[in-house]
Amino acid sequence: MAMNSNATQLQTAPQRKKRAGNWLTHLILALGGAVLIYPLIFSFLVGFFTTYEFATRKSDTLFPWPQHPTLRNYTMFFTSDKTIFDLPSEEATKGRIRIDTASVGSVLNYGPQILTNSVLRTVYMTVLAVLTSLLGGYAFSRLKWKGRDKVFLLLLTTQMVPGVVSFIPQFVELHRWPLAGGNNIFGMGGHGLYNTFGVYLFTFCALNVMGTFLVRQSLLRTPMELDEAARVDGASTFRIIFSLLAPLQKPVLAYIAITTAIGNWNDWMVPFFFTNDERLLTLPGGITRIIAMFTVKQDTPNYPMIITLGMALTIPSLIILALFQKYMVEGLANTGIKG
Amino acid sequence: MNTTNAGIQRLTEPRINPFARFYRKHPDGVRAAIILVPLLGWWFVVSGGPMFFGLLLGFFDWHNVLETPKWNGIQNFFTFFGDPNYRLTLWNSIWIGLLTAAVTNLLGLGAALLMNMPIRGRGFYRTIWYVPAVTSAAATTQIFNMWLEPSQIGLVNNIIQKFGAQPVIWQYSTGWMVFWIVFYTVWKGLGVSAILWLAGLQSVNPQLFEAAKIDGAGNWQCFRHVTIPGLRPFITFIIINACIAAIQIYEQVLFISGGGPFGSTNVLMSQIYKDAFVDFNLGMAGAGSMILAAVVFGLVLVNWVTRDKEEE
Repeated sequence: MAMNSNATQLQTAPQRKKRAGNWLTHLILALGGAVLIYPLIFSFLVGFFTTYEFATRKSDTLFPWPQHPTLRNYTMFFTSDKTIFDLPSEEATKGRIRIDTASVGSVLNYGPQILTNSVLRTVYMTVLAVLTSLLGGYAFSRLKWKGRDKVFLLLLTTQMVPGVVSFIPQFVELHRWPLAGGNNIFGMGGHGLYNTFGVYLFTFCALNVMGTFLVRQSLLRTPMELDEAARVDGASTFRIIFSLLAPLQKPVLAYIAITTAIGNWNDWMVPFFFTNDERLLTLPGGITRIIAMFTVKQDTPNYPMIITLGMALTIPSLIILALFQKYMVEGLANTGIKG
Repeated sequence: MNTTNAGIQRLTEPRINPFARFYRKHPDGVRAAIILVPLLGWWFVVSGGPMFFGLLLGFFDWHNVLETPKWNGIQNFFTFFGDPNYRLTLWNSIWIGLLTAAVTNLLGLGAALLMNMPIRGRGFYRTIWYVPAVTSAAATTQIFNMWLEPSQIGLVNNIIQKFGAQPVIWQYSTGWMVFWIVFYTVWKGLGVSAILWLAGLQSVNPQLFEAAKIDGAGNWQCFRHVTIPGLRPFITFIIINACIAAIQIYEQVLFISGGGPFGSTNVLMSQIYKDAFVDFNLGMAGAGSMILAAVVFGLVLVNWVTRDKEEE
């Protein structure tokens, strides 16, 4: 604000110097930003190439312009239109290119289903994360019980262990889940929850420890008198949590929701390792499945399709970031500094 | 509480059931139990328990999910430190991690200093710089793979040929592959680092800058004598956390280099993945995870120790 009032006045020499400094700052930040989003611009353009054109052209410009732009890479996902795979035969290209079509096609057959899975999983996990963080944060900060802080410290310590550690036991556990997927009560005989929607419904969505930690920190800064006043007025515990405290923790809860949503939207490991059926995949899991398949077959990757799938994954994240960047930046700063 | 008091209580509240009485005595405890028993129970089933067993796997010899694990003592750790390939993965984790953390934080601090200046559109720049952090590794690594293709698709080779350089087969060059892994990681992490440093910078008292300016300090002197001392509480915290994140990178390694060439980019985390999901050598995967967890724990300990010192 001080800057604006200065601008109307006559400029003194230091101010002019400052202005030049500002231009340099703008230049560096804009250039850096351009470099950082350049890969996304490039891949956005690649999404308009036909598979054949991209595989045969020499890519030597920073911004690739398609000769025959097409929207089929995008529409393909919803319509299961297979004409995009009408590639020239191997004889026509003299065997020079063997573009991978099988792996992309096998995943894209279930395009709409995969997209639905992704959205449902993200929404489900986000709601659960916010709910468990709020309840957990309340129980670990407002309520007084023996050994509370010790239990919480133990929970926080488990956050240090890399997540990959628990992957194999989780895999076995899903396979041996009792009374599911043909298993008997001892968890033998079938495939358990492996390769069912149970993978998404029942696992990896318990207490969100990091979220609990954030809500706890935030509640410790909220005055206790609020609760006591509500309690005197006859409010129940759950009413206090959801009607009184939850609105006050909005920035923290928003941060938890955004990070969980983006994290789960981008997560490829659970669908890739814990399901086997294309109908159960999510979008990142599908991309990983395609990559794994063409790597095995050593075909030329079908880049326009893969990059377009990647863009379908990136664009929603960008929208979330643009809408909620305030909460995201604040929350990140809080976790980094005050945590 | 003596018997007469209890008698009076019984007279005044004759028909209260034992649960309600317990609730009156420990209201918070009961509420906490109602909330936490299901949450923590479920957490233990799907998260805590598997983690515990996963760490325990390091003491077992287990090559096939269908077989019963055999107790192996600390033999897996002897294997780990005796095998040059495993030692290399640990070393790669450490040096690639430190390099990544250093580059990301130097650039991030620089960007934060610029973003902290009173210019228009700071929020816009912050958002733009943060964009790579929200993208999916599965998707964005494919962009880099596309650029590094040895064929005519490979943008990087075509561009450097325009400037008269020889094309490089990146996938066969140990040094360059490390470079690209670091490049990708810095690209993805720069925005996060910049925002963390920015939060640190904004907690420095602005009056100190004004005082320094009045005393005739230049920009560099301001940075040296006001900013750095003001940032001191955050420096170790941010750097240690960046190191913790950086030694755990694996997605870029799995998707871009696959650990190659000749294991030069094979970090510990990607080796754990290979042990677990390619070779099904679950015992070694557990042992590797334990060693990684120990390194992380060491870094956290450093963080705590330095933090306490500053508070005293």
